[in-house]
Amino acid sequence: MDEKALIDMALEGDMNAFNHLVLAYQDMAFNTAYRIMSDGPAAEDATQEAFISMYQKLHTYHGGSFKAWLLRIVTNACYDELRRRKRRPTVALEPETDEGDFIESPSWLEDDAPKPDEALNNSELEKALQHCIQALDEKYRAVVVLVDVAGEDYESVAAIIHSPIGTVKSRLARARQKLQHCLQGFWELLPANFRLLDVEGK
Amino acid sequence: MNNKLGISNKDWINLSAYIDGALSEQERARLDKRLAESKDLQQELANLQRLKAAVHALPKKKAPRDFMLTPDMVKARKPQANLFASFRLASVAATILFLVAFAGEAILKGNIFQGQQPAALEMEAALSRESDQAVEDPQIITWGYSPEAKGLGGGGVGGAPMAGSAEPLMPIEESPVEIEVEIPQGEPSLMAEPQEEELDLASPGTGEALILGLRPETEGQVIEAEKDAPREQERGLNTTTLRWVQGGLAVTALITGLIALILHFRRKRLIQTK
Repeated sequence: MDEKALIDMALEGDMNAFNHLVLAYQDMAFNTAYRIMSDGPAAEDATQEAFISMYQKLHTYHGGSFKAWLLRIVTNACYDELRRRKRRPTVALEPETDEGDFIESPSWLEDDAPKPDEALNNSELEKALQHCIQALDEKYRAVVVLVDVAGEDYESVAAIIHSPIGTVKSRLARARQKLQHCLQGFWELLPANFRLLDVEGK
Repeated sequence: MNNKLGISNKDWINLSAYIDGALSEQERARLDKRLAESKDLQQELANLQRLKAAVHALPKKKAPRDFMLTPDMVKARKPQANLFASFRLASVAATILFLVAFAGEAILKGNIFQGQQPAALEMEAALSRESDQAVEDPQIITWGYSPEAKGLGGGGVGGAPMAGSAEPLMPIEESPVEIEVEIPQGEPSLMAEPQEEELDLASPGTGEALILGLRPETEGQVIEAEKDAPREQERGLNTTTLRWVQGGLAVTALITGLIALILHFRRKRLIQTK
């Protein structure tokens, strides 16, 4: 069944039709949320909130790219979830064992950003990339994820983040500049086809 | 701002848009020309393309579970979220209005108090001066006749006939006591009374002299203090209304705040149990 028919049926209250839409977009929504939040459970919460919000706001969708419309909701849900987690951090700052003893170096307090000399394979490179994306300000992060991960064009991103195209352009350039700087030392981890992109190879 | 390679921010923005194909024909042609001339720009372009490819190549994370909704999930959330927001808003609005009413009253009271204070102090000072004077030198106030006019109308010693009248208007027992006001020349404080219009003490015996601060022609009229009584009543009524409004706002703020708090905790528990 096509997307428009599913949307129309969902608007009439057909929950099955709505859930077909959920199944069609949940991977894309979760992947985007994960890249923005860098945290599985947080991305899961944000994705669930986004689909509930999508159900409640479906009547406000008036055509155009449904994916872009959904990405706007996902991005907002991520921002909300990030703010909620900032207000109420869920992890205790002083870790204790079940017996109440203080743990000096708990695993979750270790910096998971890989060091250049420790990085060994692509999964490490992925961690480095994710770490650098996470280090960006929210406004830069969302733009780089929407363009380079979700593959949206500038016009859609401008509509998603409620900003002019010029702002999208400049934020994206700034985000890429920061990522370049953050990733210095990790490029040798790239597979050959990425590494050969120098001036001669372009 | 230029970096060490002499590439400006504008160059960065254009290079970034270039790899996304987001430049206009004109901008693209201009940048192509510059790229042909600058090795630095070419290198930065290559770096940007590599970065974009790397980010795009990040593994796509699959949803760890299905996010399908059930009718209960949607039903349970929507009205409660709206109710919580409504009660929170009502509570905040009532609190703000209560504070405004309270502050407004305080400011008004302050103005009234400030406006009344000098007059009250002045009156107190005048009374104090009068009593001092009375102790040292008993005052005699004449009203409407001079000592020379004594006997006109057969008033006798105790009677003080009104100016121009042949008969005493009151029985002797009720008639005002004859008091002659003597203004000591050496005491400028009394002369310096600011209320010259009301306290015309300069012409005793002319029939316009004041008795206890009142002109003879005001006899039998309602004095100002009595005229203020309805105003006082009105003010009292306004204060009562204000108290009711303040009380109502305080109760509203408390009740709506309490309901919002209960809804908030119920919602929190719902999220935790999910």
